[in-house]
Amino acid sequence: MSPFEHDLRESLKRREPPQGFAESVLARASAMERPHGHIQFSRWLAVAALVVLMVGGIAASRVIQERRRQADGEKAKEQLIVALRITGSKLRLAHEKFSAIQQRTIELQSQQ
Amino acid sequence: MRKLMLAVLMMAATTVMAQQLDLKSLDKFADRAKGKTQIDLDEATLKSTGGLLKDKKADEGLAKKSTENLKGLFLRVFEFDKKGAYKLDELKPILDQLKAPNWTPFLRNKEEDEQTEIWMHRTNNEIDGMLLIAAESNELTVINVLGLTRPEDFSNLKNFGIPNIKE
Repeated sequence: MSPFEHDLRESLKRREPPQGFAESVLARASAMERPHGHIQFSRWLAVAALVVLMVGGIAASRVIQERRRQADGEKAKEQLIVALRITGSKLRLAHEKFSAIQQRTIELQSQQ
Repeated sequence: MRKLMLAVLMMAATTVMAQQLDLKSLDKFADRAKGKTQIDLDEATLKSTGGLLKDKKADEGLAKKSTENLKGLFLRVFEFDKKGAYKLDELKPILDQLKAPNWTPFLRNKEEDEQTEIWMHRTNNEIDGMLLIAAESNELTVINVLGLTRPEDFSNLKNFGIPNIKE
């Protein structure tokens, strides 16, 4: 066997990995896959902020809607009071006229 | 196209029916009037307003009582700054609508340049509405009240706005 052949055989010979090699490779691989702690926290923070914004937005729009509904209701109430006042005064006026006509009719009948 | 026209006609008919009368012909007075009040309260608005009226407040308590049966209140008031700003003939489009069989006159009074009319609307021979026209020399009022069925509804309306001496 020539010295070259000897060296080649030696270099191609199967060698056992050092103790704990597989574990250390797996540990490194999983560390590379998982984001760092602060990145994860930022993601959660962003999601939480989005949820807070959405809930806040819905609540605010409900408050605005309720206030608008109340304002519309108050406006309608004012309109109703005005309408009833006008109707009442005109009905009283008509009633007075009606009473005056009746009175005149009675007077005319008694004269005849 | 026919379907569309039919739908438009049906919508228009519903609007007129909801008011018993079409008050649109009164819009022409708005330009001449120095003051105008237009109030349209349909049944849904009256119902929602009823919940906001407080019994303890005299005005609101009576308003609640007066409107509990009402199905609509449509009012137009035009104030003119001079006499003769409008002619009674101009009310013809409204008076023409009263020729329908479900309208019957209750009070018609004409004195010089003033005219007061109260008409009752009936459905199935039951009173269910009223129209009041008060045409004064410098003011014109037209009120259509829907859902007036009981005598106390009229008296509640008539007494509205009279200060209560007991208070």
